[in-house]
This record gives sequence, C-alpha cells and structure tokens, in this order.
Amino acid sequence: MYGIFLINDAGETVASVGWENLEGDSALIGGFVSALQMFIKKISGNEINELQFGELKLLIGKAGENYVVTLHAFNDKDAKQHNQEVINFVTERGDDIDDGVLSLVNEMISTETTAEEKEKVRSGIREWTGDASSAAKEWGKKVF
Amino acid sequence: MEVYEIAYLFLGLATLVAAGAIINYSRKRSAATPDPDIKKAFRPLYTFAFGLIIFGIGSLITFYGLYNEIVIWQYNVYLNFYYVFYIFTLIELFFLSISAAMIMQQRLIFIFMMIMIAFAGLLVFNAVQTISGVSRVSNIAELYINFGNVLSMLLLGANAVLFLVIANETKRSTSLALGYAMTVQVLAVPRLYCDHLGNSPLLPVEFVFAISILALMGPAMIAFAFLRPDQKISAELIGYGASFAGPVIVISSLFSTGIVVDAQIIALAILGSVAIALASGTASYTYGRWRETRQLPTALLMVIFTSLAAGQIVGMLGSFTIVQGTIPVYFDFVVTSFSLAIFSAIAIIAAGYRTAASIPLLLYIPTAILMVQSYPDPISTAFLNYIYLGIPVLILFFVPVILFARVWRRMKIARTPGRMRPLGMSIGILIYIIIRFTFLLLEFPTLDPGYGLVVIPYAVLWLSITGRLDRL
Repeated sequence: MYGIFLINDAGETVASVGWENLEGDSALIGGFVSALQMFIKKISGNEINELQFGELKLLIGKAGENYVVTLHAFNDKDAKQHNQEVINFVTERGDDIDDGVLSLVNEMISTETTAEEKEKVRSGIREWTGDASSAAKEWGKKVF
Repeated sequence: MEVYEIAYLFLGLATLVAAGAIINYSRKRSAATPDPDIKKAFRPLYTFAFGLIIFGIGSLITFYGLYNEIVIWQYNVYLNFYYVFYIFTLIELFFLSISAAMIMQQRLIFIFMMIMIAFAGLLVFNAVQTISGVSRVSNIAELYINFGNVLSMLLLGANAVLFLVIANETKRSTSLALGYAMTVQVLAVPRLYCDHLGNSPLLPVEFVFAISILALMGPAMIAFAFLRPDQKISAELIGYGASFAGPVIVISSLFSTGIVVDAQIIALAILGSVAIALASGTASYTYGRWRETRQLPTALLMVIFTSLAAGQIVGMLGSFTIVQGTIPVYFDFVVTSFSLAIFSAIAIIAAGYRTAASIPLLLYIPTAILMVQSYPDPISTAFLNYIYLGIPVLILFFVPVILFARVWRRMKIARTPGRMRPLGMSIGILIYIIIRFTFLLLEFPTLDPGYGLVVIPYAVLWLSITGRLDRL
C-alpha cells in the first residue's frame, strides 16, 4: 500500500500519508474525489470505488461521512483487504485522525506478513528440523 | 535422611557404570570398523558418556552433602543441598548439547542450547547473590531457581526427544535406554522434592518415591542395553532396570528408617535385595524368551516372577515401616501364594494334563479371598481362621515340587539333555515354600528372616530357568 487519504464530505483532505508517490498538491485529491463521486452519483445513482492509472490504482471506500482512499500497485492482491482494514480503523476511531495516525496505520497494515511469507518461514523450519532429524537418524544407524 | 536422598548415592554410582558401559561399547565398536567415517560417528557418544560421568560425580557429591548435612547457605535449603547438583547438571548439559549438536549437525541448536545453559547458570548465581545479601529468605531467589530448573528440564527433555526419535528409527534398545534415562532425569529434578525450607515437597511423598525408582532405572537400563547391544526394543530392558532399582530402594529405605544399627538386619536386607534382583531378572529373562517362543508356560513364569519380586519389595518395605500397616504383609501373602498356585498349574500343564491345570486356581482363589477378609488381623490369624482351606492349598503348592522331580527322573533315565531345569525348579520351589511359609506365620519385630533367606531358592530358580544349571 503506497498511500492513504482521508477526505471529508466537503471535499477537504483531512489527513494523508504517501502523497510523495504522486505529484502535485495533496489537497487536490480531496476536491477531485468528492467531485468525481458527486458526478457519478448524479449520472448513475452509484459511487465509484476503484480507479486505475498506469501502474497504480486507487480504492475508494466510505467510513461514515468520510471517504477513505488508498493507493496501491495495480497488481496488489491484498489491496481490497487492506482498504477495508483502513476503513474499519477510521470508522472505529471517528474524527480523531491526523497524518501521524494514518502513517501508523499504513505501517501496521503493510508490514503484516503475507501468507506466502508465512509459508516460506514454515517450510524453512520444516526443512531445518528435517535435516536435523535425518542427520540424527543416520547417526543412530551408524552407531547403534 | 529420606529414601530419595540416599538414592543419589546409587544414582551416582549407577550413572558412572552406565557411562563406562557406553565408553566400552563405543571403544569396541569403533575398533571393529576400518571406516574412518563410522569411527568419527562415535565421538558424540563419548561426549555423552563424559556428560554422564559429570552427572554421576555431581550426584555423589550431592549425596555427600546431604549425608553429612553440610551447611553452606543456611537460609535456603535447596541451594544448600542441591547447588552442586544444579551446577553439575548444567555441566552435564554442556556436554550433552555438544553431543546433540554433533549428532544433528546443527550449529544453531548448539548456540541456542549454550545460551540457555549460560542463562541457567546466571540465574543460580543471582539466586546465591540474593540470599547471601540482606534478603536471606527471598522469593526472588526462589523464582530464579525455579526458572533455572525449567531451563535444564527443557534441555534434558530435548535430549530425550532426540534419542527417542533415533530409537524410533533404529529400533535399538541402546538409544531407547538413553532416551529413557534423559526422560527420567527430567522427572527427577530435585526441585520437586525440596522447597527453600526443605520441608514441603511439591509432590506427595509417594510420587517422589515412585519417581526415584524410575530415575534409578535409567542408568541401569543404559548399562544393560550397552552390555547387550544386539537386543531389540523390548520390555525386557525395563525389567532389567527394575531389577536394579528395586533392591536399591529397599536398601535406601533401610538406611532412611535408621534401623540400620542391627548387623543381622543389614545382612538380611542385602540378601533380600539380591533376591529381588534375581526374581525381577528372571522375570525379564522369561519375558524375553516368551517374546521369541510365545509359549504359555514361559509367559506364566514371567507373571510368577514379576509377582514374586513385587511381593518381596512391598513386603520388605512393610517390614521397615516405609509402607504402613498390615497391607504389605497381605499383599505379599496374596501375590506369593498366587504365584505358587500358578506354579502348580504350570507343573500340571507340563505333565500333560491341560484341563486339570485349572484346579490349583479354583482351589486357591476362594481360599485367598476368605483369608484376605481377616484384614487387619495378623496374617497368621487369617491362616488359622481358615486352616481347613489353607492346608489343602498348602499341599497343592507342593504339586510342582513332586511333578518337576518326576520329570527330572524320567529325563535322567532317558538321558535327555537339559534335565537340570526341572530339578532346579523342583528344589527351588521346595526351599522357597519351606522358608517363606515358616516365617510368614511367625511374627518378627522388623525384618522377617524369610525375606533374606529366599535368596537361595531364587538363585536356584534363576540358574535353572536361564539354563545355567546344566552348564555347571
């Protein structure tokens, strides 16, 4: 996850982290997202929840009155799950959120080990104990 | 002194013997092979044996401290008596960890174990610092000691798992014995017996007693396994372990009750202990033979000698008032007469009457039940109450004496080899009945001389059943 932006219903960016991955002013995204949602709502009655551009994608979700926008790599498989986690966090926390809190949330969610990594560690341990026990068994056959 | 405290003496000595057996085995086996790779494989075993030597010495020093009640730190009984034991266990673990790391070829495990050992050492050092300062009686010191003990238990447990895994793969009694010994060493951590005041063991004293028997079996099993390394995993090994632990516990309890002043009793107790060793040794031997032949009489012989050994141990402990009341006497009476009834059954089977073999038990069981109902009267009263039943059963016990003697005569006339076996059984049972039943009906203040004298019939039976009498 590259960034998190919290936008209120007036279109102001309340808190943001990871804007350095994009160019321009972080305040602009608030206006853009709220204008976009308003427009889409007007023409279709729905809201947009995903935008993709080049290597990046934005996921847009709602936490109470606020929009939670998260920035991901276009092939990030955990993007939806991470976005939902941020939404849950913001909903719980209410209005009391600033850049510091968001960067903590970002760190917390991004550094969580993936299933692949866990499997890697597990198989590593298995291989290691397997080596040890087969060495021990071989030794036993030689000696006893 | 308590029984488990005296047991440290025997534990130490047996561990030294076990270490010697391992070294001897490794020396012989590595000399027998020209392959340098296999020669190298014995290094962990030497290291392991060295660890055992350290532990043995530690146990002996611990016994010396307990025996002479040497006071170093008067405010903490654990540290006072078991400080040496703790430190020596850590040194043992140092060598055991080297051995384990060599076996598994894992440097990381070695480093991890070394850190744990160093930490356990640091903990006890801190505990000593705490009690020798202002605190004297200190819960923090207790906590340090407990945690240190947990660490050494974990390390011993890891070693036990290692050898049990190897035993599972190789199906050899040698590695099983090593695994067993490590497991019981985990159980026998003295912390279970002794808190900082030394008066309230964590476990009930009966458990401590049982644990010390199990712990004593460890080194004995190692010694037996490495002396006869060709045997497969079998309960025979446990039997040989018990044939060491049983007598040791009897002798230890004799010392702990303080009736050791009487030379006659010591002599009887030692003879009785040898008798236990012979009986349980014969039981293990017959179990081993039964595993090979699957013959019913051999299995019954195993049952007989197991019960006889159990009766002898419990009866002797009862005489020393380690086990209270008349229960030991009754227990001894029931198992002994039960064994003799089965002996009669075996003799009848051997004579070729398969159906008639049930007669001894049919007669014996109601008699035994009636007599046991006289509890807690003395056993002689019980016998006299039901003498009209007791006498026929007693006569029944002489059946194998006569039948085995007749078998021997027939074999002698036909010049069949192996004829000393029935003769030995006949003589052994005859002497056994005469000795035991004469003394069982009399009352003795401490030790019934019958417990000591039965060493003669046990020796005869052992010689004849294992076939040694024919080779004499």
